[in-house]
Amino acid sequence: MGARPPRPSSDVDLLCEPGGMERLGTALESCGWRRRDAQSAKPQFKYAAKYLFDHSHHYIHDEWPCDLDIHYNFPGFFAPADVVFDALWNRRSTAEVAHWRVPCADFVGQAAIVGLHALRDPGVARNELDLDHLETRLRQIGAGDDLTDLAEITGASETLKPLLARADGRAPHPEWSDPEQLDQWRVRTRSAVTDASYVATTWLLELLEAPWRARVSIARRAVFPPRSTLIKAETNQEVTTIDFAKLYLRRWWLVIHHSRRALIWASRRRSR
Amino acid sequence: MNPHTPHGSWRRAQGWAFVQHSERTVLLNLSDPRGARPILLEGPATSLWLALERESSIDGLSTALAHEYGLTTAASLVADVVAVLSELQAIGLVESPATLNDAPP
Repeated sequence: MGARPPRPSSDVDLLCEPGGMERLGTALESCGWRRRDAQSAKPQFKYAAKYLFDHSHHYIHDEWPCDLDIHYNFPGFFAPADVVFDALWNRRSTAEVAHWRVPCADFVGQAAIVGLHALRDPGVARNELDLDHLETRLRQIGAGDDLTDLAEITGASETLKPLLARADGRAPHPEWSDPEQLDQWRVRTRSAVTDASYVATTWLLELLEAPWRARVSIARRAVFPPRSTLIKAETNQEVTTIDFAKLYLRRWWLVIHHSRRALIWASRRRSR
Repeated sequence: MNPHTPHGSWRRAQGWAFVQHSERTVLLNLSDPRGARPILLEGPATSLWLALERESSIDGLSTALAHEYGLTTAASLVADVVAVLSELQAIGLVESPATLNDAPP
């Protein structure tokens, strides 16, 4: 489709129709695929869980060097999942994969997906290349307005706004204004350079939004998370005490490394 | 092998996805997603698979391969083509409509 510069993929992303995840998961498991989701951070947080979003299930197969990411939604599309799916499905196209025609989002649909993916982590260098590429392609084919139309239907007019501006799309109307969803998006895009800074920001928000009496406990969990959390986050293999020490040191280094930016953002967010 | 097949036409069986790079082709039977294992064809077998993009006779396939490998005559390839087709047929990659028509009910 050309919505992204050519580069090898390490996984296949699929968007599952709403309500179809259980059936698809069962079918995949009958073919030898196993679900192995990255541990959701949500259970760790009581006060900042609202800023996090889970959006897909990850499947692996012992005999395939390629993973599957089955999305039940896609961060940045704020309209209900069935509205988003129908909007993308109604304008679907096909791509040839291994000499088979496979249904996929059309170019504009893919531009929205790639754009949201890139805008979600604006600090990642590769994502800026993706946005440059999208800007060029959308201008070349004059699809800016088309992308705005799709953004309005799917509730992405606010999240895609930087790309719409670059692609010469008309100004979106109406703008999506669900404050909780926008907060969620802003935590991700404005505070996070990497996953580590995202985690650091979320812990700081948890700390700042919790009542005083809960903060000591939260701080202790942030600095010394349960060993099971570290194991699940890093590996499925057994780890030694030395390995645990290294994992704790790595966690603290990441938090310190990213805490300045996260602290600035979390404080601003709270003072609003 | 069915005695009619060398004289009949051959085609790829349906349901196979494949990717080809240089002399190698990897195929997967999508009609059997639970049991499918990838199959690798190399060299002349890849050439034969590619030549089967259209339904073709043994003579037609031999001529195509002779042309690809710079041979002046295809006659010397016929036996090899028949042998490889027989192997590919055994694993369900190719089929001969004549064979299918001759199959007992």
